[in-house]
Amino acid sequence: MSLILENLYYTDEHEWVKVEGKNATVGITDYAEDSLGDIVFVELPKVGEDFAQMDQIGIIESVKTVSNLYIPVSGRITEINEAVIENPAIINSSPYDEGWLIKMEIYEPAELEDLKSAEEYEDLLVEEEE
Amino acid sequence: MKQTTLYPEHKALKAKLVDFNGWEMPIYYKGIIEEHHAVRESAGIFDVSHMGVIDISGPHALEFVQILTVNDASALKINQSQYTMIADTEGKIMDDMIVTRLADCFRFVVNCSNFEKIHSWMLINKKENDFKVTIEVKDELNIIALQGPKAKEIMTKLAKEELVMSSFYVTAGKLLDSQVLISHTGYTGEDGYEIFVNDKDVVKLWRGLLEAGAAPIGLGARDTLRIEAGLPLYGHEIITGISPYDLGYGWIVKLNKPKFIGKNVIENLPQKRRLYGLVLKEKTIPRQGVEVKGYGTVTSGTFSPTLNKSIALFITDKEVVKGDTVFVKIRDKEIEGEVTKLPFIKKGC
Repeated sequence: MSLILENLYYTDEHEWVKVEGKNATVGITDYAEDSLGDIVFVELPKVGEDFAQMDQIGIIESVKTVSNLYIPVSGRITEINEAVIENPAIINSSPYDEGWLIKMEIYEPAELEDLKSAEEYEDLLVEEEE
Repeated sequence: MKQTTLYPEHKALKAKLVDFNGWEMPIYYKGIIEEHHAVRESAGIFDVSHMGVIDISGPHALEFVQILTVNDASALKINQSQYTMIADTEGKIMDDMIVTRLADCFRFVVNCSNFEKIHSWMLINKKENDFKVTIEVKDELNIIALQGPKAKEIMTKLAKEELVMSSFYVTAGKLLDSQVLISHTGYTGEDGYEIFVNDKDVVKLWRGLLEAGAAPIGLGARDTLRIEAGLPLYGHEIITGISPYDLGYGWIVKLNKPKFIGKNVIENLPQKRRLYGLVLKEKTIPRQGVEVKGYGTVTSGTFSPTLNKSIALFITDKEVVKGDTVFVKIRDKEIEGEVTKLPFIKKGC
């Protein structure tokens, strides 16, 4: 079973969101990195760019496949993880920690209600694995 | 889905399994890149039992194989193998394969995706020309490929004697006291073997190879390894309209043979196209179908773990030379690449 952390929000696209006040950190889940396999290329948005909820903001590419990265809630990009662009394998080895992808300022905190809790995300994985 | 006899072993090794042309096969065990390096630096084993094994025997066996394939099977000594292809009456390649002359038959190892097609094609041609041949599908045979610089050392350990074999030859022998047929062939660009082994002995041999230090390798790394080696794959490089000449395999077509199916078309094909390699400046992967601007399309693309760069194969009739700059279009972006000769990596084997 894939690792799911309690204190995070999750999307149907297998991203996690860690909220701290008006700011959030976003990455992909253990399940997502495991499904992709060895990640070799990451394309992230530019700092300062604005996006609406579920806009595509990047690309994660593994040896076997390509997957899109979406922004979980509307907001502005405040930081990107340069380390994962240099060495995308960090996402595989540490999806919830060193492998974070972007930091952002949240525009509409109410949109967080559209996201899943750890428990709900676990149900989604059970469904997907069936 | 169909499963090979080694399926429970793959499950036990926690392999990531995928549907590969109707077979439930490991795409990787630990990771494509790690497995790729294991084969390039040490040794790895692949379960390739999904491939089709067909033995042709009987008084007309040689004549039948000669009519069916583009290469000259009459040149084969007993226990010798050759790379060949089967074309249809319109000269289209139906599959590529290794044919081995054994003491009592010719053994074909064909792609699993083409097995039914090739098997029916054999039956049709046998009937139409009244060939006295027996076409036997060897379902009970498994194939384990052992590939890598340490392959020979591992084989010596299991055979309890040194293995002296030329490339493209087979030898019958015992590994861990099981009777097997060892072929000195592979699909990785490394030295290595493909071992034919019966259902009853395959698990013991698989485990023995692991214990001797070989890593289990999935189909993911099989693909990255063969692309680095510049080896064509049916459905990618070998597609309708592409001839053996286009792939640099004109030498397998023996036009001095009086007759083989497709000869009248193949001998008149223009020989302008060639298969080239491409190394990208960025790490995004140019996958099959991606446009190489002004030249054609990518037939296979992957991330090359050895070069730590993205690479691709493409076929073009335009003039290109090593070092030329070309552009590939990936998701509306044009990415620069450099044309290279094949294989991408050269090994001393």
